[in-house]
Amino acid sequence: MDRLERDRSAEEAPEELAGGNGEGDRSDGTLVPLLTFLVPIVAWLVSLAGSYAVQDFTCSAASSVGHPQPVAGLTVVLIALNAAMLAVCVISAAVGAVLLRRGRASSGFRLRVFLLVVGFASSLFFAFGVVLIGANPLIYGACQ
Amino acid sequence: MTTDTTAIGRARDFEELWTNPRGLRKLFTAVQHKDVGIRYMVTAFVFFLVGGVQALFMRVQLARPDNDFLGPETYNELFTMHGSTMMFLFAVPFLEGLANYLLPLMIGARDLPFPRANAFNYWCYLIGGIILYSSYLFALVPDTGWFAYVPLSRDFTDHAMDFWLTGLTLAEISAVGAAIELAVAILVMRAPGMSLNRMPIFAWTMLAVAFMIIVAFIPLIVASTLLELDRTVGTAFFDDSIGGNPLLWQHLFWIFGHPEVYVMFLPGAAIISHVVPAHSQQKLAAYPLVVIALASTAVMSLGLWVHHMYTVGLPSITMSFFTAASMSITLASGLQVFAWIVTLWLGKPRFTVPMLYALGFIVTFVAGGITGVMVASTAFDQQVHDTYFVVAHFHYVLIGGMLFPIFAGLHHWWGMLTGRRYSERAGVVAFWLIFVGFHTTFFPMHLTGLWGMPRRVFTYPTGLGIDTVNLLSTVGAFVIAAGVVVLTVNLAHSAFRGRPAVDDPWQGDSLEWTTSSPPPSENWPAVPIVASRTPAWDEEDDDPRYDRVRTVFDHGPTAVRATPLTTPIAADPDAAVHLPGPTFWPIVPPVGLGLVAAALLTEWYILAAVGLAMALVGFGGWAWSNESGERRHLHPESAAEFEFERSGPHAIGWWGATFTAATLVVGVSTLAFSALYLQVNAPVWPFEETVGRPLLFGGIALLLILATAASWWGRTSSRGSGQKHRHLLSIAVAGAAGAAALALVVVAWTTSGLDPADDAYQSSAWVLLAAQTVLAVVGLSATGLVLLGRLRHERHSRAAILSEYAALLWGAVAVCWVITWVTTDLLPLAVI
Repeated sequence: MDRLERDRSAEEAPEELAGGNGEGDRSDGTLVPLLTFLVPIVAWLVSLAGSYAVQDFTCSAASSVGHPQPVAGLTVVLIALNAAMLAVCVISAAVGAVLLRRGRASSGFRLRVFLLVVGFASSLFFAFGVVLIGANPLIYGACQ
Repeated sequence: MTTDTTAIGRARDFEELWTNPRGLRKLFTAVQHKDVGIRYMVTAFVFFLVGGVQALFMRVQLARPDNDFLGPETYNELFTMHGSTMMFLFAVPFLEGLANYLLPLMIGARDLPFPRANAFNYWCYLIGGIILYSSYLFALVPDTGWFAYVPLSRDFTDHAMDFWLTGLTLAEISAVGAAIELAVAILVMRAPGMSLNRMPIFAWTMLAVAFMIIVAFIPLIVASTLLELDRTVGTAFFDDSIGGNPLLWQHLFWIFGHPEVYVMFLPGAAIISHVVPAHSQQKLAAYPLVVIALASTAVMSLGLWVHHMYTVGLPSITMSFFTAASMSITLASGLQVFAWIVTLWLGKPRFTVPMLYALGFIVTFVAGGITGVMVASTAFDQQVHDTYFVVAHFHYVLIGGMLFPIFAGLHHWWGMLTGRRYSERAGVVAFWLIFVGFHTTFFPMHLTGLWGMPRRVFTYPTGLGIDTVNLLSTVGAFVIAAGVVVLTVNLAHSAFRGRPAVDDPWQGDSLEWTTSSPPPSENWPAVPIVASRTPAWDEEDDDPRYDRVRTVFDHGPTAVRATPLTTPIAADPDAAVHLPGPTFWPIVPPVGLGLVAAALLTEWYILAAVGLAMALVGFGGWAWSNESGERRHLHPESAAEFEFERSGPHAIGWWGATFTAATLVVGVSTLAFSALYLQVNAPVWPFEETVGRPLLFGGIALLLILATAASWWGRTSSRGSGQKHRHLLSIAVAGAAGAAALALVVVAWTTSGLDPADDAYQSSAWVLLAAQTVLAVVGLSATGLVLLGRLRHERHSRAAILSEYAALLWGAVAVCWVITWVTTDLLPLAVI
């Protein structure tokens, strides 16, 4: 793509996002953009629900039967879980960013561009959410 | 000439087809979305007025110290009924009513996908409300708060809580049904061309809200059932002496309760996202970010429930996870606020009545949001928990975030709802009374709380320094009441005597403004084609891809009520759906269920049998009339262009069955979570031994898989002569396997030596097996419907799609059985 084309596609982008009239609102190739929107949501839910369930249920179960609480192991599990979910969000954002550049370059396909914008931004947002959750085991000890 | 005559004849036939009965018959038989929506809104508004009067009584009592206007018992009853009414009988039902009315108009559909189920949901809601309020007739008014914490609601109350539990469970079932209805409509009934990037914010929001209701309201239905079983059968879920745990109720209640707040707020915010652009003549700024904000809010709201439990003794790290989630959601809400401000900034705001309420919403909700950030912090929350600070916070969020938008929406769409104009002057007066009254009432409560006044106390001694702020709150409450009276009189008067409204008084941007006000029975004589996000401001798309839709759905079809179906993402037209006409069947089962509830409450069990029979007859008659309708509409002229009986995600039935299957799995998963929660908190689990019948349980699993597979095999509809036999064979196998599974589940339930009153493990296993019995009956009913469809129709497609839906339900029953088995036998071994 030469510079002129690139500039023109950048100018068209706001209109694409505005969902204006024109050709090209088709469902072709919307699966990956849709996934960049949905996967970070699942990652954030796994981060929160997993952190809560693994930590709280393990500690409660151990203390209710008088066993020592596996603090060190739990901390590692929590950090690993959240690191993995953060990676999922970052990869989703990266995929969204790459496809967004290509999507804009090819012009048209406003639906696809819309989904990619939403997917990219929500990936970043949920990545931030995972960081907020995942930072806690670094501050508090498990079962504290 | 001939063409003109044909067109006139077609238009006349079409109009006749969509004509509805009038008067009392309409009240009981109309199932169209507008009629049901109006019913919901009127009923909910009446409950709102009743809840408001209850609030006034409480404020009179608190106007001065040591007041004896009300006794403590009456005060407890009032704050319980006020909270329950506003949360369960007003807020969510009113928004569902508004969505019922508006959503098809906004997305370009002629009705909602399951109009009879929609009417059924409304009657369940009404009967649930009547049951709750009938507690006054028996002097058994619930008095444990709208959150019904155990052990208060379990051990220290008479039959009063049974009214609360049964009444509200019916209302919640109605909410789940409405959520499925709205979700399916948004996914596959949008106007051709309304791809996801062109969907109105209200539709995005209701889709998110439907998801939240399905995930979050089921736990409350499960929790209410468990509490009722604790109270009547003697199960041990909340009895900590035999393995239960009162905190389980708090977890289940707030897993519902916190998303409930956003179920109210998000539609409120969506109303503002429509009011602000229309009254500023400016497109909504940052549409993609608003979509992200509401989707994020919906998801994150499911993970905040623990911040209602910061004072129950949870580990610091657990609370910190939920503080992090609570802080994250404020960003999402903030995004929407900035979008509205930018829209106002770029547009030309007109200070109409709806806009005044929208601005009042923004100011009030931001204030409530800021105190929300404060109480999301564990350290601060532990200081103000159960004080009037929290009362102030949630009224700022709920009245600011939901009531102001509802009033904005009512004034914005009033012409569309009634075809009449209200008095602008009275509208402005009502707004200022409500706005000033609101802040006079609730701002002082922040101080009352910070100065130490706890919630839910019927009086306070003099000399604490909170006399004046309490009096101020009482004065403010009466100012609000004056505003609500002016608003009600203004709207009621205009509905009957108001001047006729023009079709589009605000030059609105969304699709509903392209039809008349009020809309005709069919919403649009010609189904609209959407080419932009602001269809009322832009030209209709002349894309030749939509020519077929234009031909078939312009004053047509004339043989059956129908609307096109479109694909979920791009909204390309790919099928059509029949829409039913008026029928009385949807009212029969709710009345039967109401009789069952009344019989259980009064312990007059013969009435329960009558009610059950009535419900069964109602469901049976409904199914029969449904298939009769499908039989009559064998060959509509549009069938050649648009298939009425497609399989998979092209059909509303597939989505309905999938969502129903999801609710079943969520319900059983909630039971499994409850058992696991009790297990990890109990010193011994199981208390004696597990159910431990692997052969029996394995056999049931195989039979359920067989029922699923047989139903799935029957979903084909080739034209071959053996097709009918194939369907009958699949029905026979699925029915036999399902019936055998049901029989074995009953055997497992009744012969495994489980005594639900012995300990929490046995309670869990007993309830899981009981639930599985009900689920097997659901599966068999689905197979029964396939049989009915097969016998009533010559064509194969009807039985094939019904068989597919049955397969989805049997699949869910099989998944639920696996969850049950894992919970009763595997988890006790795998988890210490």
